[in-house]
Amino acid sequence: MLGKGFNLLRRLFGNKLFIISLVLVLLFVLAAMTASENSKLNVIRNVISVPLKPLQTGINAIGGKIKDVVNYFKDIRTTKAENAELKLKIREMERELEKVHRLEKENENLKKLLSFKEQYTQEIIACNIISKDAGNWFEIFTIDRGSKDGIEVDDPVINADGLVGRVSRVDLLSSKVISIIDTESSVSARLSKTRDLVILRGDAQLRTQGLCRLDYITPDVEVSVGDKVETSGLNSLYPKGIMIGEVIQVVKNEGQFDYYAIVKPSVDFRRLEEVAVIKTAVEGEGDNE
Amino acid sequence: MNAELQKKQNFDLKRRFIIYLVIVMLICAVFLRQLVDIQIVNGQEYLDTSMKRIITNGVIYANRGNIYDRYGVPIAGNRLGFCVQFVDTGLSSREKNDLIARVIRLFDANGDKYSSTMRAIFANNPYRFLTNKEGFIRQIAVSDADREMLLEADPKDVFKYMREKTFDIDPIYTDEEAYRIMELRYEMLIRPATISDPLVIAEDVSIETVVTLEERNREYPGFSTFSKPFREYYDAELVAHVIGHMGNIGELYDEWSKKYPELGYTWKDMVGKTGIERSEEHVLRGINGKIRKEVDTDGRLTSYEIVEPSKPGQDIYLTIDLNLQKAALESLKRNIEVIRNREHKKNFHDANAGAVIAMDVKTGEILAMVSYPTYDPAVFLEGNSEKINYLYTHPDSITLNRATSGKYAPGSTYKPLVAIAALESGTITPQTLVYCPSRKEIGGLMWSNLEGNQGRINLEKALETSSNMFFFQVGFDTGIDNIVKWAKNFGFGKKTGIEIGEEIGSLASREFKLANYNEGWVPADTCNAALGQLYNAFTPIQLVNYVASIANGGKLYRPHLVRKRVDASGEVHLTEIEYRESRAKESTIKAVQKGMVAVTNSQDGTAVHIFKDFPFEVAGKTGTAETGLEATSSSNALFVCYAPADNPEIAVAVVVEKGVWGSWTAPIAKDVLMAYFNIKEKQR
Repeated sequence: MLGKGFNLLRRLFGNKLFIISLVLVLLFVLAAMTASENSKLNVIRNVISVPLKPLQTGINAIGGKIKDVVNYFKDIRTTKAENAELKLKIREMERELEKVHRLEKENENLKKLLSFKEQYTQEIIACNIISKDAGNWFEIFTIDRGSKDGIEVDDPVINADGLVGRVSRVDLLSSKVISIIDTESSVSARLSKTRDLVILRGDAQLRTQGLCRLDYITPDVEVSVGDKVETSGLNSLYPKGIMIGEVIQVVKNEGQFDYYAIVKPSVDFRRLEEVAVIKTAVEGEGDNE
Repeated sequence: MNAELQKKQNFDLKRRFIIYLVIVMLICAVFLRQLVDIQIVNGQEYLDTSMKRIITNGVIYANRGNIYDRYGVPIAGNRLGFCVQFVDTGLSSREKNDLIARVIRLFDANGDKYSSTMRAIFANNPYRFLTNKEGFIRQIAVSDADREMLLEADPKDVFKYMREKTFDIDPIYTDEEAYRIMELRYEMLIRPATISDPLVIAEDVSIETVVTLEERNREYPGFSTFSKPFREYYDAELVAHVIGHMGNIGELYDEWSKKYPELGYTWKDMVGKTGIERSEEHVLRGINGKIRKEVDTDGRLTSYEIVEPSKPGQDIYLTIDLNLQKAALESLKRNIEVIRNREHKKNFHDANAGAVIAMDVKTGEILAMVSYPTYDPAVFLEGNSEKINYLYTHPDSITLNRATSGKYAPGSTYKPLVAIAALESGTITPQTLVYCPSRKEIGGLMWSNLEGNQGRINLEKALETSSNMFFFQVGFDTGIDNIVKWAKNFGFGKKTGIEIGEEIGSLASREFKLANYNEGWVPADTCNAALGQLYNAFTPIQLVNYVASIANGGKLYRPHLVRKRVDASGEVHLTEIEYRESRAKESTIKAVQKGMVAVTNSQDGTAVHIFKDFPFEVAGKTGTAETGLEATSSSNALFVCYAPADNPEIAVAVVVEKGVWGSWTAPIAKDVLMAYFNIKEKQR
């Protein structure tokens, strides 16, 4: 009986189909286990995330299509109206597409610029975005560089337009970036004109419009629409003087001591492709791989 | 046979394999369906809910009203400060300790302080209980049995117990580190630290700490920052006793504080405790606004919406002229030093404190109110218990506002009042001559005249020379009841009605003696009372009000410190000028005024040398009040005056504790008058 069992096992493992399905099941189980942020299975995460990278990208692509289909059936009544609207949008988008091409060229130039480390003394690593979390904005996304490239948690992330965010998790070949519009983000900032210190925070409401909140503005500071905001560098993760955006609305409440302003980031979080990570780690350190 | 068996087995295997495959595919399908659902169909929605969506109510702090002097020079205002709060995210005890150790390191690096209730109860170096040991042990004991044991235990063992049992602090920490971790753990133990009611662990921290906690919030789970206005004083040492100070609402349990809950205060609020900060609390305080806020699980504010805007408090403009105030304080301080160093057989060189008040005689506005020694009210804002304790326990009673709450026998400054009573009761006329030998028996006792044998003198001469014998006799003849009646008419023995806290003092009367000493009045008591001694104890504010009333012809204005209030919309509420009549006849007031003018102008006046080169005629009265401790310390010294004598504008009262002679304090009043008229001159 026992011999028979061994025999069976040997044959089973000789079967390619079985092995593939077993691996698949294991992968799913592990995927579920490592989904948690605090999971201690980082090694496993790396093992999985490396081979899965192309798959993940594929799923993201397929996912978009499936979502369309599901939504389509879900809300068929509004489709007609949407159709008309969409036709209008297509024209708009064609124009946008032109702009994208232009921007692409611009981006390429800037990328070169950045890789020459002209702006910062620290080393800069150009990265591509390979996936993003659900939602309309690039709030949390994944880039194609990881600890292998010397990226560390909390490294600032920028692009040619200004501050994007910071690295929140590092894997071997990829990293997660949390952008400044995410509610978990706070940035020590400064008003370019008055040099007053303020704190830029992601806001649960504003982030759905790709905007941020500028907190702790003292009453004696005059802020007006159009004022530029940059990183302060004071005791901060972010180097001094990186452009953040500009004030588009000042919100003063009668009776309240300090007030806040709404900031439109100079980075377009609707379209992000290439970003750069500023390496803060000292040369040689954390670069063991 | 074998081949057939093989075939059968193969078929069997194939069948099983198909079953496996179907199962695997089913599982995959289920996973895939879920994945699509979670990531794609409801992705955005789940993202939103996972990130935050804890909605709770919060406040926006209203701005407390500013305080200015009468010309708009700022005395108290507000500035933005940052606070650190903590929300328990369910970390284990050890994790919490490590987290707190890191936060403390951060505070230390930036020079910030955190709140510690424990330090005031259970101190370290060496470990000892300062107060409320039982309550503390009840809180930290893990079981009832432990509690019994700890009540008997050595403080050192209590510390060890807390370290090991209550808070489970890793041995890698030193005892000092462990004590500090405990401070914050104790705070978390006794107060809520929930999302709807976070625990404020540090107030007024540096921007550096804020930046670190904000940017690196992942490393400090549960910690977040918020801003609120903090009280700020400018040159407040000049007016410390007038503006008073603020403190934690929790420290006060009187009638006043009982009203706080219904007014919307919480135990976390700071309120005015003394002075204008307290008396004007109801208008200074703004009404906090209400917000609906969205926070994440760490208690960080992710979004908010104003439900009810906050209403700022009203700004207060005092009647005080800061320049005059400064002149008064500087002169008082300087002259106390001078008095201490003067050579005189009665000087024990112990003058150490005093008060000066200047009042507008036509309105009751207090132009200057100084109490010395003074302090910086910001000490109370910092909440530094060491410094606060120093102030409270200092033998010179630094925080006491001597101008309104110091009680002093008026000595000879009471003589004009006795004169009023004598004139009003018809005991004397301004022309009556009273025989004033160096010794005389009145009311069964032998009295001696400090001024020697003066012969027959009238009221004017008696006031000019401060003749004791005249007032022994005239006071005796007038009778204590008449004196008390007129003392009350001129505001003694009752509150003046000034906004800030004041003492009533006491009035030497039959009732007072009976009530307090259970003894009947004897005739000789009247002689003592007439010289402003015995049970007479008045506050400088009562004295200045009385002098102002003599100056203005008999009106007692309500002394006040608030000139106007201005609300957020800019609307001005002027303080109404109130007064009552003393009902003294014009002729009476005139006769007393004449005597007081003589004090500073006539040949024998007790303060004539001080005012001899003064550009205005001043009316005044010196007073040297015995304290009964003359064997070991100097007498209290007083001086009251008003000017200009012919058209009075300002009244001044000066008291120097252990100031030896009344006339020695007159230079202070002179400095105040000089400053007043110089300032006025400049403004023209």
